[in-house]
Amino acid sequence: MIDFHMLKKILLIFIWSCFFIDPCIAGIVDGIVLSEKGPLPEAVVLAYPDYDSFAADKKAIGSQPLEKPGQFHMELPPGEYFFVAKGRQNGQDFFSYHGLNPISISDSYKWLPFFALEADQILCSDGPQGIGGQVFYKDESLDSGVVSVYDAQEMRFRGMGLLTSSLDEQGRFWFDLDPGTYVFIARKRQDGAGIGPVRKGDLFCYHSTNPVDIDTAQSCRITISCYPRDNIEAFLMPEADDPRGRRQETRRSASHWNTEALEAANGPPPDGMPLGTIISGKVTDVNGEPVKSIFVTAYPGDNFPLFQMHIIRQKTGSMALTDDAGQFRLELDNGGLYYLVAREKVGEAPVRFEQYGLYEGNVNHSIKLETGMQVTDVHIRVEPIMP
Amino acid sequence: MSVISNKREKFFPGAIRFLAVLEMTRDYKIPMKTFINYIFILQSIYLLMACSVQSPHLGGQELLVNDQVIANDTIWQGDVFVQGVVLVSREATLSIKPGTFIRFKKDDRNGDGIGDAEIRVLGRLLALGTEDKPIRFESAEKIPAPKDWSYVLIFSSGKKSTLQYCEFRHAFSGLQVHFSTAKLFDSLFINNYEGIRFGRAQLQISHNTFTDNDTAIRFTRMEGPVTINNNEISGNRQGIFLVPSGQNITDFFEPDRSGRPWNTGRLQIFSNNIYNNRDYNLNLGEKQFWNLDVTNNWWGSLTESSIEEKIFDRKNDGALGKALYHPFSKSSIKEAGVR
Repeated sequence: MIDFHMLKKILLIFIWSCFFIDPCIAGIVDGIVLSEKGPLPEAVVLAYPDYDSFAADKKAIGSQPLEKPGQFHMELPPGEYFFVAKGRQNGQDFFSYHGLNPISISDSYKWLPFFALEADQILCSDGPQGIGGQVFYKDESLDSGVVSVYDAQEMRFRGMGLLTSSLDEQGRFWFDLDPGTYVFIARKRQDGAGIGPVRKGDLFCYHSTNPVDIDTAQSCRITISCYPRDNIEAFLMPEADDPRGRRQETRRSASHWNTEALEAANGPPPDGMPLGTIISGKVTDVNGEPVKSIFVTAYPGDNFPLFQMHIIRQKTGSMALTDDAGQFRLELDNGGLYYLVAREKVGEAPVRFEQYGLYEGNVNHSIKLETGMQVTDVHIRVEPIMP
Repeated sequence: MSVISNKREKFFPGAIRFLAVLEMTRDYKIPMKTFINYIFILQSIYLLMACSVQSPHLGGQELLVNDQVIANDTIWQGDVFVQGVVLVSREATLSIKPGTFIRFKKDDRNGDGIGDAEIRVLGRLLALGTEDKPIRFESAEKIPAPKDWSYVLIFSSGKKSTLQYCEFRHAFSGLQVHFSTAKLFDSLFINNYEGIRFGRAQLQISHNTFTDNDTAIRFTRMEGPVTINNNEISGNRQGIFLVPSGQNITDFFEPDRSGRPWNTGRLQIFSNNIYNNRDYNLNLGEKQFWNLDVTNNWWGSLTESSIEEKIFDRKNDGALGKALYHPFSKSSIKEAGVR
């Protein structure tokens, strides 16, 4: 028999234990791992507390399989995690890195779908120092898109990273890089933009052997495979086993809990919100005609008071694309001195006949503004270079 | 008096006629309408001169240029004193007349030990001196030294620039060309830190003389089409210094884009006299993995050991390419250098 005092003790022990055992306030994560052929049986989802742990394959919390193929269940203490999925099918290794990583886990229920792809290839040998490769979707090379290089310590891998390069018409790219450890992610947005959030149907492409070490006098070649964000119909082969059932809508809403916040768009703020620090204006050719689809980039210059060429190879996340009227709108995190460059491509060094221009309002190609200030009517002229 | 008037009349017919009209008014009364017409004509001439698209700086008085954006086609001649950065905008051409003497004030704004005065060309530069009247780019300091000013920089230009019979002294780099198209002939680079530096560019460097610079020619990309021929490169610390970014000079395909050359030419270095430079006549420098064709140049010697002693390549560093200098010229090339 349990008397009142015994029951009180048991309850106290239970309550106290909750302060030391995280699962008491665990977040539930369910989901499914899919290959193009359907659910990936016996796939495992791993949650790492940080990217370094993922790279070293340490401190992972693994998933448990559910009764249906490819489905999994996890209970995680609150916090941020890097989620990946691994599995095998027909003797091939499959891998998926979730595009929203790192994902914040609280006590709310989450549904995470993973689009697993065959593991990418990497080959390094003596040669020109750097890395090149090709980006694929369903075994076909992309005909456009961008690939970005991130410092592996960066953790979030969003924006332009250290360098961003346009893919050529066969999905190829090349980066000259100093020795170091890097992460490579390609993206192809349906609207053709090189920047901005990855939306439903856009391709997200994480190289599966990331992070990659670049050594002195080493030349590496990689492949990068893509999946369509949040678009199972496009991802699955026609003959694939479609696992979606009546719970689809519930799961779908659970998989979209805060993606908008994670991938803030470049559009104007909602009504009532402050405008922020903004540089806006127009890109034209030398005859004054507007030029659309030009990337305008603001490079922070507070540490570089004079224009020098190396400045416009610095890292920056401040980029906007001109619209049909040549208009652009750059949202900046802070005020300061910014060097302005407008060009047709992103990332790599300018190429022959590329539309290119610097802001010419002063000899320093720069604009200085305070935080919260808006500078409008900035005019940048571009023309094809190296005739 | 009449002779002088006649001479003047050739240059300022409106003005002389106006004076004549004034003279006439002493004895004659002219209609007010005629008088106003002359005033109107004179005013028009003045406005046309002041607002001309070609805004020449006429000789005789030194032109002082502080930080300035040149937005229209402009002519420099005579003496020009540059204090700061002169930016030639994308739609403008800066034409420099023979004999123009451009001096740069040393003004180290960012404290890096290099004067920051420069001419930056996004448009077009036509600096066409003559054998008798070269265009000079020099320091304005009383005791001039290399790095007193930055450079003439042609950057991301959509036009073709040409420099001939120019002399560059006391610069960090006399001339830099990046992502642009230019031709350089018959010019002298002396007592600069670097004579020329360039990266991705379409460039012809012919019949120039480089001496007493730390580095005569520094090439930072190893892409073409670039032609370096008939130059005299001697008396520098190092002659040609190549710091490429990994492109394959054999075929100029970017490494991962084989089959599609990014450009239509290649790097050619031939018929130059490259000798008597203190450290190296040719330095393949950093990351230069590919072999480099430097045949048919004069290296100041007929013996291979002497030639190789002044070439830094794979024999010095296994990570570098080889300088392929065979066959080499057996004597100094007479046509090399400023003509």
